[in-house]
Amino acid sequence: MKRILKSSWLPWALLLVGTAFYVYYGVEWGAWLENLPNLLIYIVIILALYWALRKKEQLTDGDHKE
Amino acid sequence: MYTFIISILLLVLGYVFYGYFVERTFGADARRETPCYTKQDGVDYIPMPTWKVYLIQFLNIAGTGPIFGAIQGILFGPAAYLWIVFGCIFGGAVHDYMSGMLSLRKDGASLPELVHAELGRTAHIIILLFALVLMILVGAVFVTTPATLLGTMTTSWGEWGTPLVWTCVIFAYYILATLLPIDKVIGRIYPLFGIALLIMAGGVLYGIFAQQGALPEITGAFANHHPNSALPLFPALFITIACGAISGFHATQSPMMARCMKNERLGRPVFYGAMITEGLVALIWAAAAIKFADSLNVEGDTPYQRLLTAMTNPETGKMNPAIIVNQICNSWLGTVGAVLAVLGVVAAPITSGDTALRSARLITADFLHLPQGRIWQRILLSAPLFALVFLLMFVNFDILWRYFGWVNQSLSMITLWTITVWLARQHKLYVITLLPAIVMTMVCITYICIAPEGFQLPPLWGYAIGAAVTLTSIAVFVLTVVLKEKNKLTPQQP
Repeated sequence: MKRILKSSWLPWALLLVGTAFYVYYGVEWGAWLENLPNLLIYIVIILALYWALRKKEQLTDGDHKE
Repeated sequence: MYTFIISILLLVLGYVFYGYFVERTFGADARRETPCYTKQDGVDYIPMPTWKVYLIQFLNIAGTGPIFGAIQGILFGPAAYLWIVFGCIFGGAVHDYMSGMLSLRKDGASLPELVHAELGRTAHIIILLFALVLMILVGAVFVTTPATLLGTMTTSWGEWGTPLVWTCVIFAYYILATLLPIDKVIGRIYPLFGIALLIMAGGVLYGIFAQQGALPEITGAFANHHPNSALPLFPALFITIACGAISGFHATQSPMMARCMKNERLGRPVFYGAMITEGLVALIWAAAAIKFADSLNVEGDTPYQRLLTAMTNPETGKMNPAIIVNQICNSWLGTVGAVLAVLGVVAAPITSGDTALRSARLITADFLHLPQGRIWQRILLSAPLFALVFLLMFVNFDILWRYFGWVNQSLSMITLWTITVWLARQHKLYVITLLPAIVMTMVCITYICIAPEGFQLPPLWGYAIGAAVTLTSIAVFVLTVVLKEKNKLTPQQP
């Protein structure tokens, strides 16, 4: 768990910032549902980043083993 | 009308003669292998046909700039013609050619890497930040602006025609254009849009000759005719008209095509030629706007006042050149014009936004020395950029966007100094970029000193500081580059 958090801090940070933005502007505009598709796309981007980082990690591990 | 016709001729002659001279000065070598062969990866480095490379380069650098910027610029008067013609031939086209060719020589390196090699680490970091901020801002603005426009055009579609849906569609396209190999999306769509943008300019050119009315002549070119400008002609005009004369954004785009060119000798049509074409488009739109506004029955004593009235949104009170583009296309070109108008105000910004994000990926990859052959490698760099663009779309970034023009021209200033240093170190004729570098240094420093979004100093102070910084830059260049190179050539006495 600690390792995953260490190697993928960027997606977590971006997710936190994005959620903060969503909550803040949701409160300000009172338009939570209208912005939901935006947040969903944002989450997909974060997941893609997380996947790319995992892939990189796997390949780096593979290099070390060799 | 004579001024307009002579301006067009000068641009063409500039390409033929000065373009040839600049090519000779650089020393383009047809036998040298280009990065599209030496570093071919099937993603960013792909050999492409020259006509395609030219059209993609043209659309990459064009976007809305040569249309909207030129229309806003002609408000200053016929001086806009002079700036477009001479700025384009001696400034913008040289800037684009040299930055593109330098990238070609250095394996398609991005602008910050070129700056690093010639101006050192500090300049590298500054330009890296400038370029990335510019790319992300362009990406964000060119999602929201066309999405809002498309939303208003498709209200009859019900829930499927809202700005939110268009935002998702445009953003999805940006993701594909950034991640997929250049020949898969950009290489297929851009040539079509590029041709359409040229047809649009051709139609408007026909309208200029066919419609009744006069065009402003060169007389009084040095007077400021702008009905509402708080700033003097110099430097305001030089910041307002960027695309069409000289624009720093272009140097961030050129490496993309430098990675697809098959031969060094193609640099003149692709880089110099695309910029001259953009100058022609800017000239046509500037002339069309002023001629069209002169015939309008709106408030104002001069054509410049009438143009300003015609393109001011009565609800917001803000200037919007899209209004005049729409009116010109509809009234001069009919139904075809209406379709082209949509292309001009919607497709052109989208084609700037996608390549801005692609450039941002390439710039980051070059900086971090990360290969981009695999899809996960591209996602690794693009996803944080997409996330930033997405967050920016929530925020009202008008305050940041006000600095776009200045940041853009500052980028061109740094690029010109970079090329000047490279030319001097190669013992080539560096004056061809030194002179535009001097002009742009004076423009950028003076502008930020006196502009409302800058330090708001009195103009005289702005000119004095601008001149001082420019002279200092020249002195630093002479002392650290020119004299050093001269000493290298002089044989040492025993």
